[in-house]
Amino acid sequence: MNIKDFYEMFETKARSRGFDAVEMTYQRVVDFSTKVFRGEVDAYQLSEEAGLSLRGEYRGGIGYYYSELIDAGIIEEALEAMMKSAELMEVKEEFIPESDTVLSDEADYHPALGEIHYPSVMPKMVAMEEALKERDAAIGEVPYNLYALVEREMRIMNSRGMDLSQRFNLNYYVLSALAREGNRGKTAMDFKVSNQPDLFEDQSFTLGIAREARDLLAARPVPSGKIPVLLNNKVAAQFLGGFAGLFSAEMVDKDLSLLKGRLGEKIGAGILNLLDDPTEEKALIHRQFDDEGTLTRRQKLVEAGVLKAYLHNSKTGRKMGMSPGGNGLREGIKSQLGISPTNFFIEPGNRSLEAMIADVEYGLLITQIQALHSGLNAVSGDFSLPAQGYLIREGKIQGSVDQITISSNIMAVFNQISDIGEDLYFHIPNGMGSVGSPSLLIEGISVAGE
Amino acid sequence: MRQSLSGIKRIPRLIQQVRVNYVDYDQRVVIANSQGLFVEDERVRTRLSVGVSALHEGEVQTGHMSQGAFAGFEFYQGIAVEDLGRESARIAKTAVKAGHAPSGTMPVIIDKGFGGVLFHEASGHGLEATSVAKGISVYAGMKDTQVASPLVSAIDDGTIQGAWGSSVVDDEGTPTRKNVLIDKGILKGYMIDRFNGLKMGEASTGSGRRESYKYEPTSRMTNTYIDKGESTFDEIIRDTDYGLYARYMGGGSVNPATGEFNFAVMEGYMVRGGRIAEPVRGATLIGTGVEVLKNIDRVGDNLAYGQGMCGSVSGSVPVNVGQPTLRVKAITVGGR
Repeated sequence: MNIKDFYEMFETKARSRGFDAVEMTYQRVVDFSTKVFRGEVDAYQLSEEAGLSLRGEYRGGIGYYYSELIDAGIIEEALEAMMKSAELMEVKEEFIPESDTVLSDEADYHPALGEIHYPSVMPKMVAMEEALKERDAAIGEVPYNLYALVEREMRIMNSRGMDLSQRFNLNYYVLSALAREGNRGKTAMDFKVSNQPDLFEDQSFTLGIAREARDLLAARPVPSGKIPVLLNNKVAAQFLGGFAGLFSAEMVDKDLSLLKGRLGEKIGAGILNLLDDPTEEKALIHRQFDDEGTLTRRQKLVEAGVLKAYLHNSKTGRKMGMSPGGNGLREGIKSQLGISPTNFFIEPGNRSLEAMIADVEYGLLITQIQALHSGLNAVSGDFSLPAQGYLIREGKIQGSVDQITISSNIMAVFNQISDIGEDLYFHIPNGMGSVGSPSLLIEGISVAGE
Repeated sequence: MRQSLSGIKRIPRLIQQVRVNYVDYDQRVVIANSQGLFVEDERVRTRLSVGVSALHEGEVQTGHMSQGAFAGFEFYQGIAVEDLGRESARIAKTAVKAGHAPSGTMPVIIDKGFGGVLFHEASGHGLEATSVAKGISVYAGMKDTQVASPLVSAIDDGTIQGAWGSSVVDDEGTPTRKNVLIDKGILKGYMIDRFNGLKMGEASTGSGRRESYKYEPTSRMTNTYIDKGESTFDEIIRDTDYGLYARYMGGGSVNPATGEFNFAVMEGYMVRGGRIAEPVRGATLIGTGVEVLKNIDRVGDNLAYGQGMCGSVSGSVPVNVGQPTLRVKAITVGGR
């Protein structure tokens, strides 16, 4: 059933049952992914999920209903359920916003991606597998060869005049190589994310992976100690993503953020600027409104090392006397409203990675990290992450490094960033927002090795 | 949930935040295929977890405990929920006052229960047919060879009564069973689902699992543990001149193609001169599975289990991990 027709019928019936206001959030996600292994399709998955979340103000309370069935037949049942749940929760911190903004945004929907014929992708992936194996005789297998295409559509309508919709799509590609020599095996992996069907065009993609896998075969741990560590942009973006929650006003309010009570204070090095910017050109998604319908905006969270703002949804904004920042986002239509950045990133500097390497007397260039779910504690800020990469001596790459961990605390990292690259990279978005970073040089990281 | 909080109340001002999470679910499955299979199954699971954060001199540390079972409300008759709160608070309180773990290679004693995450990450994933059938696991083609210390016997058993990772049948309708993976250091078998079994020319071991119908089933662990040995806990500590004692473990991950694993120590202490000494925090242990299993030189007599959610290609599934207290003679500790 047409979503607008459904909404109009829902609103009319709700009014006749005595609701003061109602709202509908509609979300549809289409995921396509496929994996190739040894020249054959190893997995092929296409899923489409759509759902509605309905809210209504009824006799001073607020009630909810969720459905995957979008059909006029559910309206009566939905209203009954909403009336019941409205008895449990007062309209106080949460209510249906007063806004008559009407907006339909398709700028991030790329027809060229929408037109991709799914089966045409696999031969290209097979070719990538072959190209990667041909780069080096040591590469016997390509254990991970994954392509994914994501399309997401949302619409928020309420009886106070709001009608907002947005649609976007993007695709990404993950490729890894397993190099073997004797009984030693090492893997190297890389990602590519784009809003155009151009993921298979870059020949240097396989070159980088093959070179790294080959280099890692000779990798060794380094002696334990505190040394400067250079995170390349992809590693830095994944790392930063693990700590984005520090800036959530909800975490601050619940005493779960180290940034609580530190607004206006210096929390990082003077060269550190951190932004949440829905308009950033290098990111692939540009949200004009959040999942509550609040319009998003560019925010400087850290300016010259000073903490300037937290990320808010309307509830935390009201509670802390701030304007809602447009960061009211939820993981899925069934999830509760939380807080998430739009495009969260460290502002790039003007240094090339090569120049940054050249200035390191003794340190590490990290090209892969693991265990972001277990080796990193977003509440305490502590992390200890397995890593691999290269040793830098006197400004030059001197051999590869593995079986080490890098450890410190995020607050120390903010303070010890001593050089920032020009190479801002945004990692694969997690559905709600994306995190980006340029390469970062961090002093005094504990490295555990031999 | 309130009862679990009552275990925390008496702890002084250090405790900043407590979260209690209650989960129960009832999963009903019907599995049918054109070979005449028609199986119905119901899985009722219950779990309670408590997370505590403690603040001391501007630093925050967390403690986390959970317990779960393949059972309904009767689960709560067999456990002391106050203990979950009390233990989480104690862990957070200990950590917030602890110094940093050292960096480097040293002997590590890993305690019973959730310490079994060691085997789960270091070897378990590499023994799943998901990576064995493709030949990319380090354990592919290693059957009947020595892959661990002779002290190590490892088992995956989906039939343990009431255990968090148990079920009557797997998600392909095959009855679960007790699978010996490693017997006294010798690799005896893998965990196999039907599809990968076809590729490997072996029968399913009742290991085909998936989170829900949204995923394809593949071979996964159920209740996986290192079997008990002969040393007592006290002997293991007493025999260790210097090293790390990991009392509670956090989560981890592994690259099955290389066997490189990592996992976090939630509560740790230094061991000096055969005694448990000061608490240390923030350590991650890294190594490769083959190497770490060969380096196990003490296995305790106190087998216990812990509950976790394991995320992999077929989604997030409940698993038990288990082991007695054991010692690895050399492992890289990533502290500060």
